[in-house]
Amino acid sequence: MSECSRNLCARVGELLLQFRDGSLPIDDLTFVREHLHRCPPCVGIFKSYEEVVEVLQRLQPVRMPPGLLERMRRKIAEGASIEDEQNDPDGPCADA
Amino acid sequence: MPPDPPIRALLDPELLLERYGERIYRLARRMTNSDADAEDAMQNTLIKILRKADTYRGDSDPMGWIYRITLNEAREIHRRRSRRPAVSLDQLPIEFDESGHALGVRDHERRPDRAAMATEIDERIRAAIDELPDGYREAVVLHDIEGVPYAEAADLLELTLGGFKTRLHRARLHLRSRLDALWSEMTADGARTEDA
Ligand SMILES: [Zn+2]
Repeated sequence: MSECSRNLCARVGELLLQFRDGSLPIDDLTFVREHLHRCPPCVGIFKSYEEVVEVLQRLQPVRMPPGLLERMRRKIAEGASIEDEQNDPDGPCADA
Repeated sequence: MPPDPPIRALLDPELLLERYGERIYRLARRMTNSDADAEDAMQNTLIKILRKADTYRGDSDPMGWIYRITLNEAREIHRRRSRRPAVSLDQLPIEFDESGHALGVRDHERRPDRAAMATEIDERIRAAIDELPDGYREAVVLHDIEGVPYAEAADLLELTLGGFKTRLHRARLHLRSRLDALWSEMTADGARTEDA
């Protein structure tokens, strides 16, 4: 029987988040460790899982575009939300 | 002088923008992946906060309350403008070959230089986040990108801790498969260049 049976690999796949953040109960932890020890494909998945979390934490920062706050001040003064404009095309008299 | 009650910043547009404007925009931008949509979501959020401020009952930092409104507005805008249906994450996003081995393993040592590809990786990941179903996108943005702790993020999304972790995990696995596809393309390109 293959040591990397689909069920075992899938089970490991389900447990990677808790394995990574150290919250796995001891039985599951032992199971995942032992499985990773002899299943290179799952090691690859775990490595790339770690990599995704790293990439997410290092995404280029969001910066406010120039003039954004000024535009927001104006919109607030006008008091209209996008929703109102789209749901209420006929103006204030249209009744739901 | 006693500190300002939090509600003051929710009633005063200038204070609201000064204290929370940047965080509202950042979350809206991450959630919509579009400058224009983020501005629309921010506008709706600010107006909603100012309209509903007198219903805020907390006596501490209202950031959670503000985040919740921002998420709702961003979700609305994203739904209205999204061009493609979200991917399905009902199945574990890991593929297996016929012999039962997990697929999607790439040779980490032979990968192209990550620093040189930062922009491309960034774009690919943002596009992959964009195609996630709403709740999954929110889980990734809140926890992995904005650094909101599990318990708070779960609370914002009205999920149990376990439910939140499951969602975050599936979302990460989906992003993993998209990033893996990028590596495959790069490796194939590299092989073609070497062959030539
Ligand atoms: Zn395995």
